[in-house]
Amino acid sequence: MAKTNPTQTWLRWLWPPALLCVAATLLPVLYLGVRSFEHGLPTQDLFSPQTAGLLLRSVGLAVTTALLAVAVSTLCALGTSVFAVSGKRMLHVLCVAPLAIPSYVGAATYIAALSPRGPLAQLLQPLGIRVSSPSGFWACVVVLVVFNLPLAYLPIRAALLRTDRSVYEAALLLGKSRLQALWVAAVLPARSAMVSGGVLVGLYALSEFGSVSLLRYDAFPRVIYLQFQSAFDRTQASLNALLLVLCLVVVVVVSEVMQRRLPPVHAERTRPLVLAPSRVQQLAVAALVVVVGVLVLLPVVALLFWLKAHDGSNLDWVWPAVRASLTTGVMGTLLATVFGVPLAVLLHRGQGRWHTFLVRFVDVGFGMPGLIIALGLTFFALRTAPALYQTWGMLALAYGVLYLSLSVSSIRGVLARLPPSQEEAARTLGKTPATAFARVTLPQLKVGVVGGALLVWISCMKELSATLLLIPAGEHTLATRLWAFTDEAMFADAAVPALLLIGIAALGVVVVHKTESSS
Amino acid sequence: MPTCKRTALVATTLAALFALACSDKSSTPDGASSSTPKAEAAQELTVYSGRKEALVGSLLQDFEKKHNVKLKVRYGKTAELTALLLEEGKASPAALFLAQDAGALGALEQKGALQKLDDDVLNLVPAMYRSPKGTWVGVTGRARTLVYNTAKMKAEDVPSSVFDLTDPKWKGRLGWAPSNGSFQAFVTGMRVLVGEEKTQAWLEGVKKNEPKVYPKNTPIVRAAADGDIDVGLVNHYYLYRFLKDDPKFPAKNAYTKAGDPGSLVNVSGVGILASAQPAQQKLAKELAQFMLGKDAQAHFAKNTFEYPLVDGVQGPAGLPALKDRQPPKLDLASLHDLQGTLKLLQKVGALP
Amino acid sequence: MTQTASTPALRAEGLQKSFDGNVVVDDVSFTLQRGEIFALLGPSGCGKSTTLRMLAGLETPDEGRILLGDDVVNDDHTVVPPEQRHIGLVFQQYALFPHLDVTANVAFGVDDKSVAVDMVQRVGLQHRADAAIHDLSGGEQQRVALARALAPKPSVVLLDEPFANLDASLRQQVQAEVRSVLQQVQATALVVTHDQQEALAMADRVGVMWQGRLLQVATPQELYHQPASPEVAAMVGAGSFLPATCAAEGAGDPTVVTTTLGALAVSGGVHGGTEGRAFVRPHQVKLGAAGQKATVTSCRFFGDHHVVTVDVDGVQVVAHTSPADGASEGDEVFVDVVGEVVFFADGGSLP
Repeated sequence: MAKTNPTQTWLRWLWPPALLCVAATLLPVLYLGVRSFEHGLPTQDLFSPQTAGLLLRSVGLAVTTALLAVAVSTLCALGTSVFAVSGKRMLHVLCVAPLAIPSYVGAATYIAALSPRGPLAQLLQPLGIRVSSPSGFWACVVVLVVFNLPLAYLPIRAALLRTDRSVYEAALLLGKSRLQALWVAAVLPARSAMVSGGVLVGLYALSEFGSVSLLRYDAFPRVIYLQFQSAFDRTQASLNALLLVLCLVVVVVVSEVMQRRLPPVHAERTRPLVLAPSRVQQLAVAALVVVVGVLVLLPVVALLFWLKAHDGSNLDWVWPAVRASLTTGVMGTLLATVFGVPLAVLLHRGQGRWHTFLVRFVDVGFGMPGLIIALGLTFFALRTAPALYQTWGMLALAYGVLYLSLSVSSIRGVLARLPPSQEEAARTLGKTPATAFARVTLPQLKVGVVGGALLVWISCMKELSATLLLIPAGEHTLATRLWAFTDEAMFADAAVPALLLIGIAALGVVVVHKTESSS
Repeated sequence: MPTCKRTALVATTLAALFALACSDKSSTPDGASSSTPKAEAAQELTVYSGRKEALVGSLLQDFEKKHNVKLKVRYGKTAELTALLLEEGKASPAALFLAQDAGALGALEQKGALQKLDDDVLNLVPAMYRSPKGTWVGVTGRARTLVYNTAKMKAEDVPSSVFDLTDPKWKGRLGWAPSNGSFQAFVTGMRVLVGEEKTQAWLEGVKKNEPKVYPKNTPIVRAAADGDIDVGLVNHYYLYRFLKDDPKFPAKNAYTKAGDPGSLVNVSGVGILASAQPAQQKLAKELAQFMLGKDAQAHFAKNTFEYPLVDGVQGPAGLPALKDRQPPKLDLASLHDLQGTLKLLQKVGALP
Repeated sequence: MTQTASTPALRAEGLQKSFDGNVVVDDVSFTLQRGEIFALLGPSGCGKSTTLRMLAGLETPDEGRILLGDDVVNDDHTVVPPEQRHIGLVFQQYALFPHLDVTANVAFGVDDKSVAVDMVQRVGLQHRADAAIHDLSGGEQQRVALARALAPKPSVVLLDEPFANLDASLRQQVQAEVRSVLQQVQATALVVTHDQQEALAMADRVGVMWQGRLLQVATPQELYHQPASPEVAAMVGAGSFLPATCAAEGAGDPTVVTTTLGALAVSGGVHGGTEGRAFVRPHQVKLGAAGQKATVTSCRFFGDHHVVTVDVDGVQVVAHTSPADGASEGDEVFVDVVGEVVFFADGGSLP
């Protein structure tokens, strides 16, 4: 007679909030289903071969971006964790800084900075070097990698910090070179973090529209936007959007399968690995600092440059926008954090594959374009709870659907590192499984909760598409102000909300960093 | 313990921020008047604007003051707002829609989302700049133009007809924005004027010249000045905004000959939504009339460099007068067939 | 946990557990008396850790019963969860709570902080009472783990390879300290270990496990002198196996077997067959001037004795000699056995 494992039964209390999140994420998908099939089954000609080609291009962009982001993050993370190298702190700051900068701001500043009449061109002209505005596939990859670097860098670095020195030394003694030993001892155990970070970057790249279109690369989300905009018959648009959702689901499923194949790495007390770098490695880190520094700081420099042209007038909008940005940020963060913990626990402790994939469905929300989420929630709100329509609450719900995945990923990373023997010890000391979780595991999740909350908060502040459609009429966030100004080439004005956004986000990063280092 | 104190500090800060954010009176509380049309409708009006706040914001504020009305404006992208309006249907809180182009208004009209306007509003603009069914009216004129790089080209070099752009000599020198609403309206106009086949031939001809693709008009103008392209298809007024900041901006507008599809004058316009309640309709009508009033029209001419459509208002400085422009004889209402244009653009591969 | 005076503190009856079709614990039964220290000794993978986890309630046996005192905590109908068993567990990796300091860790299972303070003192950590866990040495962490497990005064405390992570030089001292603390609080303890020296030093009784089965439960002396099977013999103390035969029933001295080292006396007499192996302890093997001819194959110095391996007609025999009597490889020596040996008839598995 099989008896249930006594430690798992309290997990069933986590299912109601988890299912709530899954249901919320399903709403836009259901909306797409309704719009796709309301005129009957779709006919052949709604899917053109061009669509398929574009989908492949988007997938190619996403995969390349994810792989490159993971590779660069790993290199940088090695530099800031395992190597005792000067410039380490600066590199770390630079790798986290892109969190604060919206990718569309980044793309716009790159284009402006590298324009043939821009400052860089003027500088390099005497040298005979011609510059041209960035565009195309690789420009998109660079922009997406740079401005999503923290999504991969932070979890990978956290994993690398737990490298076991003994494994490294054992490999050396078995005749491996330093690099091979590093690979075995540091990089391989960090694979789980690489997968989770890479997935986030990939999902974002699959759905990103703003900066990609600025760089003039034809990608799938653009199809969807265009077709929704034709506004007539949304069947085709919805079908294509469903196709995108299917891709997102595939990405999530593949990543979860990969995660489960990887051996678990429990960090019992190990001696941390700190290596003295060779001359070459020192130079490499210095090079990284320079390259990343330029790429990350360029937008800020460009914005400051534009700010100079500002005459100081027309600033009444600042405080209401700041307040709105903070409000949206806080609401979204609260939602994502409160629901993030039960989801992460279920993911980590859940038995049964179907449960896992069901919970990971919320990651699809991260990859869905804001327009679709807004239209989907509108559809359901108007039919079931019209009083909720275009209120702060509904906007918070949209943010929750969009960014919950960031919080879950961060918390799950921390959960995976906690040895299960701690909760078992608590149980032998008389605590029920739920109490053991609350008093032993939960306090240690703080780092993951705070880290995830920061990511969510900054993302909420930067969000544009869903905000434009769902925010209470008359309200603006810093992001919507920024968009309003950049669209009309009012760069001096645009610099203000952009710098404010970056400033507030940077402040958040600093506060969290201080919290982390003190714990 | 230090960590507990720090957590408490962070939590308190967040709570304080949240309280601060919710405390201001002008924030909309959940479930309140903005979404229930009946409450206090006489004093409030919800407007969706595809036109930027920087352009129309001051006008709307003037209206608020003069008529003692509170305007709740949602600024956004015309196309997305159109999608939203269609999704909202009868439950839309908006009473008036300010659209960047006639195509969006036409789409709404097709779906019955607009109400018929009163004649005294319609008659403010010439017939060709309003809907024949009377559901929307143009507010400003936006002429299609060819922007060119003054360093590389002289005015004579620019073709006088868009059909000349299929000449192979333009290979690699052109720029366009197929996903932009104004361009799509232009193509729709060409379809109406010369027919589907000729339009397709033109599109394919231009595509052979490998034009650079941009998401919007502003980047095309910038690219022309940068020398990335020699000639770009845009709306007329973007150039002037650049010139305002930099009088030495190395680009100029060239206009195609009279009657050419490239001489199309599109409009931005307003429509009153069918979902508007009777009390709001009155206010919406007043707002529409305001936008067509002398002050507002002069504002557009001066600040956005768009053509006023109402008689007796001076056009933007330094531009040929609208009357002299002789745009092609075209019923702008027919520009609503965006669907057909998109299909054509997809067919030739200009759009995905 | 109710206990009458004579009730054993813990009874395990017929415990059975399989994972993925592999039998990990096979019909294990034993009893712990109150106040005794019991060791479960066996190599890795023999099922001892699984048995310990089943006693704690962290795993559920497929079959069998577990009683703590008079209460049934595990049988076909009932499974009492760990938090209600009132059992203490010292984990191999200590599983201390990093977010709590030493005293808070120890106080985790009790309501009254003074009990925790007292316990911290008992293990000698009063000067580190406020220290963070990561600031402690391995030995100090182990003491915290022990104090934490003992603070709620459990009826039984289980220790999972408690000294595995300690330096060898510390081990003996720590073993003595732990045994002292356990006796001070009159705890009933079960220690799981693969280290025979640990088992013999700590425990009042030892159960030897091998491939899921409990081979013998006895005092350390009994195990050493009267191992019930070759596996037990090999696991408790060192020794050599010699092929041996004895006379058939009624055909000679039933207390003697014939080996390559000559006729040897068997303790407990011969039974179970005429062919088998004799088990000889190293200290019984004397190298000298009389006995069987043998060649030295190796000699290693261990400080207080040499370990000399000799080859006697193809059979390897291990001997311990005094520190002064070394030997070199290839030397010719004479080997003799003193004392009684243990005989195992064929049919058992080879070590």
